[in-house]
Amino acid sequence: MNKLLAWLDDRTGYRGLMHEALYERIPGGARWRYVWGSSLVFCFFVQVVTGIFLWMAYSPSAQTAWESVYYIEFEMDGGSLLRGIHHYTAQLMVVLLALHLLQVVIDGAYRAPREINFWLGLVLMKIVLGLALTGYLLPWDQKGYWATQVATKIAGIVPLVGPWLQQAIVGGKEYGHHTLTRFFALHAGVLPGLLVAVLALHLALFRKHGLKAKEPLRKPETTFWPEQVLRDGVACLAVLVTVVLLSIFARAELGAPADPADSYDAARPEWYFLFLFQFLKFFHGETGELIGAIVVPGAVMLLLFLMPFIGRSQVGHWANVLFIFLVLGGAALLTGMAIYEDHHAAWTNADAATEKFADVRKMLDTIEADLRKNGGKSIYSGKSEAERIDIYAQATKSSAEQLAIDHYKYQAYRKSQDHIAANELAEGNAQRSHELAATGIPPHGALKLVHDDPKLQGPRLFAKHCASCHDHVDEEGNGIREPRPLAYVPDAENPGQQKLDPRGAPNLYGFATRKWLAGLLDPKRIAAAHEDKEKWLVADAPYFGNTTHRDGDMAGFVRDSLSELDAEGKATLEKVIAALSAEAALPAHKELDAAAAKDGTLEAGRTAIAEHAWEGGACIDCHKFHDNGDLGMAPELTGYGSRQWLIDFIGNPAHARFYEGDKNDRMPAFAADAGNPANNLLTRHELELIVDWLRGDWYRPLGD
Amino acid sequence: MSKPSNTGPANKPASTPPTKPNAGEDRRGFVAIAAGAIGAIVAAVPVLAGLRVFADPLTRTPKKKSTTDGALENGMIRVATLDAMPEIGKVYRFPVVATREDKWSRYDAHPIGTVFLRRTSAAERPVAFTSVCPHLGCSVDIKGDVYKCPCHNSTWTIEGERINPESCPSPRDLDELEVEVKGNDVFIAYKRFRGGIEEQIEE
Repeated sequence: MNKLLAWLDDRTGYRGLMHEALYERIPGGARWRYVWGSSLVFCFFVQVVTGIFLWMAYSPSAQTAWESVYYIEFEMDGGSLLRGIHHYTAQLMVVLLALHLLQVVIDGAYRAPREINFWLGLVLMKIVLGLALTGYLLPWDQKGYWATQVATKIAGIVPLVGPWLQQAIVGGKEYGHHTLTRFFALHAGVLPGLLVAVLALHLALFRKHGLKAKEPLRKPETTFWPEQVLRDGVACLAVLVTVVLLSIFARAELGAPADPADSYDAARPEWYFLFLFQFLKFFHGETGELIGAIVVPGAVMLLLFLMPFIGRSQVGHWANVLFIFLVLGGAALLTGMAIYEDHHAAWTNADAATEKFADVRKMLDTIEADLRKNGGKSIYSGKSEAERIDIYAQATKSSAEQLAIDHYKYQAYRKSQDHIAANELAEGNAQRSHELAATGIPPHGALKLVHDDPKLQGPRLFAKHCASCHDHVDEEGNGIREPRPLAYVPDAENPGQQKLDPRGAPNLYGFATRKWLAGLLDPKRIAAAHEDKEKWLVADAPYFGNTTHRDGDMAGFVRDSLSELDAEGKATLEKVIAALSAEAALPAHKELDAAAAKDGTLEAGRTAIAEHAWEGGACIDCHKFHDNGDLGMAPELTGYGSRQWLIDFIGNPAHARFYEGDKNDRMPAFAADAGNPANNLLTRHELELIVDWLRGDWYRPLGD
Repeated sequence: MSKPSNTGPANKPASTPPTKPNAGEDRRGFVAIAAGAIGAIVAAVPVLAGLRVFADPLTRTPKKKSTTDGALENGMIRVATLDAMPEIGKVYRFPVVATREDKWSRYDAHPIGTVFLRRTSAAERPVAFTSVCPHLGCSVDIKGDVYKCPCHNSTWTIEGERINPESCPSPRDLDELEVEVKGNDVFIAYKRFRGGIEEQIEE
């Protein structure tokens, strides 16, 4: 063995190299304060190793990037840990960079003859930040996609070359395949290559000049091996343990797939860029952006580069130390501000907040109601926000100053609430996209799964197309309920007068379920309506809402004929409800319907619909139900609430099968023109998504 | 950190490690061992984490066979109808269309292979051979009454037996696939086998 090593040494001189590498002199003995550089090199080593293994499973294109990362994270054995280590080491590297820089500046290690090495270090910092920025986009999820848009848009405001620069980075005017291939080549090729080259120079110069020992020297001189190596090793171990624990207990996120058509309100840069994000909030307009995003950060970088010259004198050195503390402290402060602004609503007790903002909310409600009621004649009309507060304060004899402060705080609180809600929505969407992806992703990519999912798309489409009249809220009041101002129309009976034209159509939550039908056929509830004229809102009109049907034949029938049923009548009604709900074949009622079919309830209910003579008549006197009754008077009950029935109804509610002609109260036909879909308000696909969502008909993973 | 950070030329490295008294030597030995051990651990962990993921294809247990539209419960895939092969004794060629999964992607109704089907009599179920050559996986073709592989010229009879086992590059006869007939529909259990060996082993 020794002979072999001697041979090897003779041919390569490795012993000399090892000796040089390991027996670097450390004046004053090994110290913990020297570990930052080594731990940074270790981080880079971890990133290269884990990055190459991730590379073996990553596929950079708009249809495969998210998909392959999903596969790494959720399907591959050990994938989550590997990705977690890469994800968290990147973040830790930024922290270590800041500490390394801080230590170098405090120790004055940038002074002659080490100026060039200090600059190389700053270049390395830029490269690492570049790696962080490019890596953030690669999973192609909503978070990375929208946050990186901001970064590339900033590149676009650079004077003269901005637009050109932006297009070159993005690989075109819009994000797409080439954005990913470019970012990936930068992230895995160009930047690491540069980093290796600059790092080699950095280390070479470090060796040339030797360690800048911290004065006074505490101990006798030692060598790098093994005393300092042990300390460096322990630091690296601490880094490793931290990232492994984080990876296991706080898995690296993967948001929903990037969707250019879906605004993403939760967009934020990764936390280490939050200070820049916050800083930019202080600048407005084109020039402002330029100053905040480019001039000021550029000036800070320039000052960092000038440190070796400024620090020639002792005073200069202290100025440098003060400056670095200001920069890092300022960044920390801005980061804290950004986090506080986004999340403080979550740290505030809800009751305390209600109490605190009671006056402000009362003020806002009063102003709004006054504006609505009096229009142009309102004392608040045409006034600025500050003026309105003053007017209100005068009218109520309260402190305008206090109201203005509280109003400001209230707006901030609301913004924070919105951000928290956006985060929760994003998290829900992410989880749903993972559920869907587990079924296998079509060749078009995971976005297709998201776009075809009733559970994700239904609420959006409902809010856009239906919510101006319909509610979709559960018993607790959660769901979609848009504020619906009361409208006034000319009163035909009293010319020159206006009359109230209340809006508000049925709450479609649980439509055609037994519960919903039981409410519809409940004399007390069928015509329930609620108009709050003070707030000018209409809500909570669960069945016929404020439509003409509220005073129609059906409501009259329910009120008159179903109000005093005997026990037998009640039992029959229950069977009718079961049979009618079964027409819908709702997924949620699958077992109930099957049981009802087995014990004869459905049969009895169907017979009752066709034959039972209630006080005011039989169902089929007005409705068609299978072979009984005729169309044209009231909605057909055959297949009531089923997928096809709903698609047809929404497509054209004025059709003879539903509310023929003027029986239909204001509901538009969303897809009446089957022959020419371009004329329709909703595409067939959108219509199906809304219907499937209303019916609760969407993919559920086993065990859900 | 151990190796990667310290490969630059040293600044006047001490010519020899400073000499220390005996107690110091002991401590130094301990420190060296600890430093070496920690260095080895921190270097190994990321490598092992990566290797674990790299080895994923080797340790992956196949998911439950994904259901192809119209497939039988045992996973047999419908490939043809009896009507589509009216002539007894003639070899017909049919694509196998099934759901294919490739890592994250799922392709519905995707061609995954080709089978040859031949009816030996009106009563019996057809005989099926996969078109994958048992030698090295080229696509076998039928020329008249002879199956022929274009790559290395293996030939088989219409019964799937090697015409010249001594000189045939293929180590075995054509791979037969299980067939089931339900009414007019012909189902096969599509499988892939390892190439280049005498024994028929499913991949």
